[in-house]
Amino acid sequence: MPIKVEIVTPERLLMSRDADMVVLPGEAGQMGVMGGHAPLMTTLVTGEILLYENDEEQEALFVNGGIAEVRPDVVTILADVAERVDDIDIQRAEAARERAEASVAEAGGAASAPPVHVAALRRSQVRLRVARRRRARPGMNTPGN
Amino acid sequence: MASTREIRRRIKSVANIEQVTRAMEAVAASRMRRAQQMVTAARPFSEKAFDVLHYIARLPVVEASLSELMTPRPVRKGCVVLVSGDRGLAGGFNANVIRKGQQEVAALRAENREVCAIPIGRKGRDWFQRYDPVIHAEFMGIPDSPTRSDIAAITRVVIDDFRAGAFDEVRLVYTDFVNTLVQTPTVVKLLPVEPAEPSVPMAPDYIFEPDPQTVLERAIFEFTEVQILQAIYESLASEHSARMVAMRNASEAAQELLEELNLRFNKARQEGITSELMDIVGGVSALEQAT
Repeated sequence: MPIKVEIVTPERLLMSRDADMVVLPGEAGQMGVMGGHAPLMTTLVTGEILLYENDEEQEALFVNGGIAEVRPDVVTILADVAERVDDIDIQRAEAARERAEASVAEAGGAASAPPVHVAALRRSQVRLRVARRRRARPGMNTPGN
Repeated sequence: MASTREIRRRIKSVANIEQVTRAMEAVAASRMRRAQQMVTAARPFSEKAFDVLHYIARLPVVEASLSELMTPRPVRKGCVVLVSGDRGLAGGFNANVIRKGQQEVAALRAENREVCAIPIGRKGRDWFQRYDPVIHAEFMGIPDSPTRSDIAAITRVVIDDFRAGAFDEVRLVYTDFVNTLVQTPTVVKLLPVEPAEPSVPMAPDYIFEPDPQTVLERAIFEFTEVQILQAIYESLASEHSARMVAMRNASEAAQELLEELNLRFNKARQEGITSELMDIVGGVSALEQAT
């Protein structure tokens, strides 16, 4: 039973499509949602959203916080920031990570650095990981393949 | 009568002005279209955030421990967030929205409340600085197609300072884009958020992770943010359409002036030729008489 997935950011409706399963980075841990799920609302943390169809990963997105509303037939994700993996510029993401690393190191490590810097570091690491993981796999419909 | 040279100079300068106003009109028209698209694109998010927010706010489990962002408290100090443009040459756009902001400030004062202002946009900032310096924070240089991250600082200031008690009520003044010819300065109450009926029926029972309170706080934050973002989009669409209309009027006025100047130039030229001819004729007849 497919479930409809809608991803909206404050700027636009980013995606609206069907999937067999969607994996979300919920605040209480990763969760996989399939059609017929009980109504649920959760806050999201920085992580990746994965869409599966026929046991194959169809789409991967980076998300940075938000809310997800799950109903039996539709999942609506209100994301602060969401990027399709193909839209992530690895070089820029790498540069952002280096900047974030430097500012955390300057403050003497994650324990004593201001929370914004730690969050920025985590955000950039996750974004990179999401982007790399997807590109590393051959046969996926990434541009250039 | 002005000399032909002087008139020709004026014609040249008016023609130049017309060229500039036409260019500005074209630019404003395309930017207006983009801003309108942004307004529409942001709507699904704000509707959804609105629904989630009001659904949770009405749940019996949270009723007792509502978010402080939803709890009205005695208003000692009110805050007016005024969205104006960074630039002028847009007809009455800035003046109208600033007047509306001024009225809100006056209304708060009439109720014996202290007032502070958060202008977004240079024109509003300049007005407050000159006439009523109660600026709490200011934001200028909003890019032409702002995203969430461009306004993150604004949301932070509004929400955090409301929480900290710097003000007890936030009103958002912006220009609502009705159509190309009509833009209305509008006021909405931003904080505290007032519970309302969700616009679509929601499932009767939800599981909350980690708990309703956290989801509610998040929803309020998102909703406030998208409201500010939308106000800025509306305001941008209004600014560009006001500028477009103003520039079209200016181009038309320039064209009329050009016609009038051309007529005067031709008259002056003809008069010049006539008087030259008269001189020649006079000279010839004087010569004839002399022989």
